[in-house]
Amino acid sequence: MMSDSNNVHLEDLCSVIRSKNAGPFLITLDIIFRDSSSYYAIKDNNLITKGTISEVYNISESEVVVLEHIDSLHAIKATLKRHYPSGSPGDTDVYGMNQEGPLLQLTFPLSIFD
Amino acid sequence: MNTVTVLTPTGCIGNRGIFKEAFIEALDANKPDVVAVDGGSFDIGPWYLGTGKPHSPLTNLRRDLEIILVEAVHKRGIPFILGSSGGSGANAHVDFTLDLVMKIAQENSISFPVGTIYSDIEKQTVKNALLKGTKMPKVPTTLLGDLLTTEQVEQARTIVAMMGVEPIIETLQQGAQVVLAGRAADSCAIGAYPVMLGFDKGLSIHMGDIMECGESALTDTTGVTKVLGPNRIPIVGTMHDDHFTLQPGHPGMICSVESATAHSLYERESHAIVELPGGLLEKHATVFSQETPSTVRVSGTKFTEQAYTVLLEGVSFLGYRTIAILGARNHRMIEQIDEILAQEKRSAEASFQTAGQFSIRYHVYGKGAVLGLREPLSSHPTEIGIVLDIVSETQQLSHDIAEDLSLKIAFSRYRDRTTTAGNVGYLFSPNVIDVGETFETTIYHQMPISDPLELFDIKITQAG
Repeated sequence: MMSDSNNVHLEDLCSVIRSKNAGPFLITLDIIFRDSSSYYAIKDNNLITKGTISEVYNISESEVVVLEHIDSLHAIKATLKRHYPSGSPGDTDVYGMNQEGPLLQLTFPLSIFD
Repeated sequence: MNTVTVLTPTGCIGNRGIFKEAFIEALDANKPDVVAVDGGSFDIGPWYLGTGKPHSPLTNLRRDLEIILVEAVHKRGIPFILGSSGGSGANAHVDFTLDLVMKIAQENSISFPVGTIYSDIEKQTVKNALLKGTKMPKVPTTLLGDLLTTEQVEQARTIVAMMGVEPIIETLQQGAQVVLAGRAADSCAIGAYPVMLGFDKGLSIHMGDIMECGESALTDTTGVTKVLGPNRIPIVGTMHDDHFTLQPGHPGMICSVESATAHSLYERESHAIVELPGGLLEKHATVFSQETPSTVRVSGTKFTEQAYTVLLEGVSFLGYRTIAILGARNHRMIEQIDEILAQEKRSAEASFQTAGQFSIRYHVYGKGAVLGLREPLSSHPTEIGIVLDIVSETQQLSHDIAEDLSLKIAFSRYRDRTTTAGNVGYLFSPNVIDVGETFETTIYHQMPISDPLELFDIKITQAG
């Protein structure tokens, strides 16, 4: 999906969007922005919250156990409960390293940079 | 002012293989007081802890050990600490690692004292604590009971406790020049040596916390890692009284504030607090600054002591797995795939209902296999991959169910079917693959202990 003239994709604001296990029962999402203006545009407009994460992943908000804004890194971290323990039957991503996909759907109006 | 320098040659020993030339150059350029590296993880799943099998290729593990033992330990007299030996750090993992070390010493005619730290926990030890009323809470998950139960302990095949710095320090003080630790917190295996020498615990462990993935905390400024492949270059940390510095173990890389701080997010539930044996590593007041173009200075991290607990990791044997991989490329079949698979699963369950305990799972690639319930989008792929995942009490039963179910799907009579000669492409001949023992992670709980050494068995052996 391309960004149109009024919207920008999260992907286009970030140098890192990744997922990984944080132990066998949690998956953590790291979103690191390219610059402070992008980071603060998202943070100050409250555009990535536990609610946003639960919506894009189609899960309940209680499954998002951590949501941190880390100013010094221009980063947002969200940690999710796993549905299956890492590498136990039912799990399909043992290291949790391919769970970032739904975040890439997020788009924001360019007006947040005004 | 006193300093102590730690060199970590790679993020995980034996994983991708140490780059020997860079390692030797980094030893001579930085004159480290200790070489410390992590050997495993529990993120790789329960099978390794259950079977005692290695998590890295044995050939790579042997080669990396030989480089460290000959170049650092023997030629330069530098002690060596390995955390989570063999992958999961169970006794079997420590033992096959010790076996490799003994052979390397013999073949190279070198000699040194080796300390092994065993971290398997007897079920009775945990049960006794539970019987005395000790509460052992889990991590945030809905997949385990809130508190560890005697039943979970009884069902487990293997249980390990994750050690802090204390057993490693004790082993060094008993005279080991090489420490092969069982399950250990990565940051503690790398931070133990400076803590032993009296350096600040918070800073020492934070240094280990950043260094544990090797060059992951560095930035490649020359493309060297594209040539060598990832994670083969050392990282070097130096402890001072009130700060530490991080520098690259290769001139083609730098440590930048960005690369060092970004790593504090990696594989952690929270960036600011890490729960460790005996306390919390707190990074709220941590300050990173660029000291030289390639060196970062870190200060302000605190270790807050708490009542001592260790994390228990335990796995239970579930049965034997067989898998089969089928491809579907017919649009009518793909449109009806959920119904077809459900129906044929019911049919197989009926066929084998008196044969024993078994479970049938499907992983349908192209239809949400990677994200599972978290997949927000529905897609209409041209082709899909179907993995049959059978676990039962015997390998033969799993094998038979996988063969039977493959045939049932191949000849399933779905609506408007034109493919009367068969519905799917079998990937291989034979089309079913017997995988062997299968485990489930059932214990991930905190156990309070009164002495940081009490669960860990230390032995000193002479190699060579």
